Amino acid sequence: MRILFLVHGHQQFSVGGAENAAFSLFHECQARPDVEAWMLAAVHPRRGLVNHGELRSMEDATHEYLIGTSCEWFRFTNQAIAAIRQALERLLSEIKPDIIHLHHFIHFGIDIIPLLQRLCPQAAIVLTLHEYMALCLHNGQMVTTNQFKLCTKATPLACSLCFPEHSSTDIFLRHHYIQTILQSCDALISPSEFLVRRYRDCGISHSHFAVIENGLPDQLSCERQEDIEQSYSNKLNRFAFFGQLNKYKGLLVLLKAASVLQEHGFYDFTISIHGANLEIQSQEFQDEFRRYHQQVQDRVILRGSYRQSELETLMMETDWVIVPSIWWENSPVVIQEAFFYKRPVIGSDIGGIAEKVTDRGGVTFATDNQSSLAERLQACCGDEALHQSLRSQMQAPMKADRCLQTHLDLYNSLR
Amino acid sequence: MASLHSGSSSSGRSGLQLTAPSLPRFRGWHRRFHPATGTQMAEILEAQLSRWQQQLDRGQAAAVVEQLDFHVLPALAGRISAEHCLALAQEAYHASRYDLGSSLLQEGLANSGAKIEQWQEMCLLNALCLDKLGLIHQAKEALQKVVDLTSLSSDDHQLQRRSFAAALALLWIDLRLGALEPAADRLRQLRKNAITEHQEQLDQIRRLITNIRDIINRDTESIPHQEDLSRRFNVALAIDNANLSRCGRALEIDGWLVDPRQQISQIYIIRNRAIVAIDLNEIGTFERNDLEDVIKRCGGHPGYKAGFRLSLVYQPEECKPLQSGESVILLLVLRDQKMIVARQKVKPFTVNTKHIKSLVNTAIDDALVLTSPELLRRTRQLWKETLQANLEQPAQHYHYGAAYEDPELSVIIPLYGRVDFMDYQLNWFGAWRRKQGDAEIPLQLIYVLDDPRLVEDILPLARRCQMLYGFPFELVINSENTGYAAANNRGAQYATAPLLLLLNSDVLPEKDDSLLLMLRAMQQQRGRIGALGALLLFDNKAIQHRSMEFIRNESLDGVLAKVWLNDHPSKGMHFDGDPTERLQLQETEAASAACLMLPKKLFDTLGGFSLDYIIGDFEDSDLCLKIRDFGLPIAVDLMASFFHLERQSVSLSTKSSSIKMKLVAANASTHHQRWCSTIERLKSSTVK
Repeated sequence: MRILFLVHGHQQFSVGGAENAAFSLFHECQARPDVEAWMLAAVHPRRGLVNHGELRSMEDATHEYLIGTSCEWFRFTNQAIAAIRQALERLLSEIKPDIIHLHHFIHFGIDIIPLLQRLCPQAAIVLTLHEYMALCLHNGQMVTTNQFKLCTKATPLACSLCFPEHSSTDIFLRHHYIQTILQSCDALISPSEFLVRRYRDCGISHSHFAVIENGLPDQLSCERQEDIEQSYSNKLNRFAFFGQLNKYKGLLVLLKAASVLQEHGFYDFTISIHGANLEIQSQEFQDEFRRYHQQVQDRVILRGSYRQSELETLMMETDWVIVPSIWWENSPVVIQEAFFYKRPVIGSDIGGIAEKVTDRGGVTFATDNQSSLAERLQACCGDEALHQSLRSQMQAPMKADRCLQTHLDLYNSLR
Repeated sequence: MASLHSGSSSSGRSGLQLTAPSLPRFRGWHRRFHPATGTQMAEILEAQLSRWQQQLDRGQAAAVVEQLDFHVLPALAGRISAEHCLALAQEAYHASRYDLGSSLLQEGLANSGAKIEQWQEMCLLNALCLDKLGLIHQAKEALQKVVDLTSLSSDDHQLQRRSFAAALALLWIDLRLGALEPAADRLRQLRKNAITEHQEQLDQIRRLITNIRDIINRDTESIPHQEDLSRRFNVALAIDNANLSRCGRALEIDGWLVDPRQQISQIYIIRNRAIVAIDLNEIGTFERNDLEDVIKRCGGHPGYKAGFRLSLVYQPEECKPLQSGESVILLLVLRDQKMIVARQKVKPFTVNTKHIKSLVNTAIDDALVLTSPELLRRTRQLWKETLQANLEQPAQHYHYGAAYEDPELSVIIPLYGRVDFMDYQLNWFGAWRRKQGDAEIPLQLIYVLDDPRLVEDILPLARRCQMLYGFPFELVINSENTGYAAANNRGAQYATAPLLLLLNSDVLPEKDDSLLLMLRAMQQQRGRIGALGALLLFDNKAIQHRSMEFIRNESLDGVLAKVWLNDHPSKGMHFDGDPTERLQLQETEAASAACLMLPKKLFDTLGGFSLDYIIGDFEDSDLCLKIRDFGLPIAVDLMASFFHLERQSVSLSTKSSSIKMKLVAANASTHHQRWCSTIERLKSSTVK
């Protein structure tokens, strides 16, 4: 089987869940004699590496290519589709893929899909959806623009209330365009059941809409599994947050919950915040973050950014992982990582978080509600029985080879 | 399932066949009205005719005229007496419906039961109608016949009146054609024989002719553009611009006229000796801020509307093309018989929609009252001729992609104002074809760009669509904006399939099988359905159209209160059709042409869309009524659902004084005059 993967960024200069998932599949393919795989990664022409529509083979890699491409952000229309076409024709005539698997459509533009169908009519087109950008103009968060309220359904009216500069007609057209293209794919893949439901509720259903959890990130190794299991604290009172320091990740709720606990006279806990990029957030958010953090700085420690290789050590300093996002999420990789290191998760009770946590090794609290989170944190501290029972719920992680096999089964069903 | 590397003939993968299996096998249709050509309809017509007969017996001819359309005249004429025919024709004449009057009289004159008196009167009235309709040669002949039959010096007062009226009309025809000397001869004859009470009127004409002779003999260059008689007569006049259409049919004069004491009794336009009297209703006026001083000198109040636009539409037989260096002269006659003249050089222009709109704006006032039905009629005629001339010009025609052989359906999609809809539709067609796999249906898509401003935008877009979606389509580019009806007629010229789908560019299928459902239903019916519409939805799935029905709304302004209007029942409501109702095609009064399927042959036989509706509106219900009149029903398919992103439609809350609303009023009135009795009969033909 000949497979071409398309991803919106190359692992070497772009880190993210979708890139990891795509490259994990791609690398795993190398071990299979029955599969030949290629990788085409988008590079924004702004980076100055390649111009729009220019193709470059990666150094010392026969099967990895870069292509310069960008799209606009309303309907995801490629900015120079005619230029892309030439490059793709060249590449596709060489590869002759049976399967073209896209891991995102940004940078490529969503119109890359009809173009691929035209250029390669016999190939099955598979698209993995990693978020809700196809549905929601607000960076795909499905959270309203003015009050950051959770939104359950994108409709022309609801979206035009968030984005008054776009008429409901234009939003309808955008939706119809994207819907038509997504439904013309031969299969869609989602890492969570929740995403499938959310797309279906918004009018985008598909007879081949598979749920396949992302494979574990390449870096995780199982060698020190036993040591790690010995590393819980006696008091089970060390919490940690991993991720970007932005509004959607629910950091303010976390800080406020710590403050609530202090007010109640409960001091015997620590929260480590691992993550970076606070300085690129809005000034308003930065100010708020600092103000709330000041109140709890004895309990909540800002640990700064970390590398993947440090994750193991950091997890060993942690008893519970908190995922307090105030948006829906899809399948946050941090949950998989926590489970890999046998750390129970305390997560918001919505969307992909609730799906991945409930009865699978975690507990939930009312989203965006500091009292609820505070109550949870206090109850968890020292609860050995809970900690143990949650650990026993955790399933064996989806390893890369099994993840690939699930994909290959799907590809075969399309042939 | 096709193997990925086998050289399948299909352009798409057949992995996702969504459409074919779900199609119902045969779908009947639910009749709601008796067929227009059946025996029940003959009875309904009979009842209508006897009701009118009773109204005529009670002397209510005016009320009957309001219910008449042309389709019913032959049946009516055979039934009524010469006296009633004459009464109807007189009312039609008073209502400025000269075409109706003339048609009635043609029938009436063939009625052998007419008394000589009535017959003569009908002859005169018919001649006057023909004159008003601009059929000058026929009118002259008919008027001469009246003159020959009557006598100016007869003792019979009626004979004398008819004779004078006919002779006077002939005189005016001469004046309009610029035949000054024959007119003067006629005048001499008239003055010799006319009775005293006509002498005053004849004197006026004599003075007019003398003045015109005088003007013509003078060097026209010496006549000023502007005449300020504020000190002597409190009147001032100027012509800023004069433009004549290249076809010679339309003359437009812009200028200003200050006459606060209303001393002007008549206005004449003189071009090359030809003189036309202007109906004061046909002058549109507006405020001019730059004329404060003049208005003040003439004793007018601030806010006096001094600016004017005078629009004249010459009849085909009286229009003369522009001569080089030609001037137009405006002649004003004051109450005390004083005359004022002003002159301006005439420049050529091409009739366009802007000009047509300005004519409609003059013919209908801000309360939607039809102040000049005759100007509206002429405007409509001019519009139609302009469109016909445009349609005779070859259009640019491009093919994108390899066309299907023997398409089952030709889809015609006019584009106006916004071309990007094509991207969305072709995206859908491309995805649809891919899903059909080997079962693909040969279609011909014809886009008609009816907006020359957008040529630069559409060509790159068309190339993009061809590259991405691969669905073959054709693009026809009109060199002028011609409006919805003509754009569709243009598209139909290129259609090769036995069925047409008239589709708006802002219509997108809600479901994958909507189009195929309609197509199969029409094919199964084998010509038993005249046209098939669809369920159209707003972007939030509320109903936009499930049928079109004719309604009255007496609370509207002006002409709109008196005519049949098109309504979309259930508009804005949630759609909740029961399955049986959806499975059957449902007969309706009419259906929207935003998405309407019909046999190409039928469309051609009926001459396509009527071009009498100015810049859109009502042509779809007109087409449906033509089809029904032809004997075939209109139906909708409620299983076939589409989104219709209806944008700039006019709602009844639009201000009456807006040109949009005036166009609605103009077209509603045209539609009514053509179909009102037919609609009445349709309304009473419901199958019990």
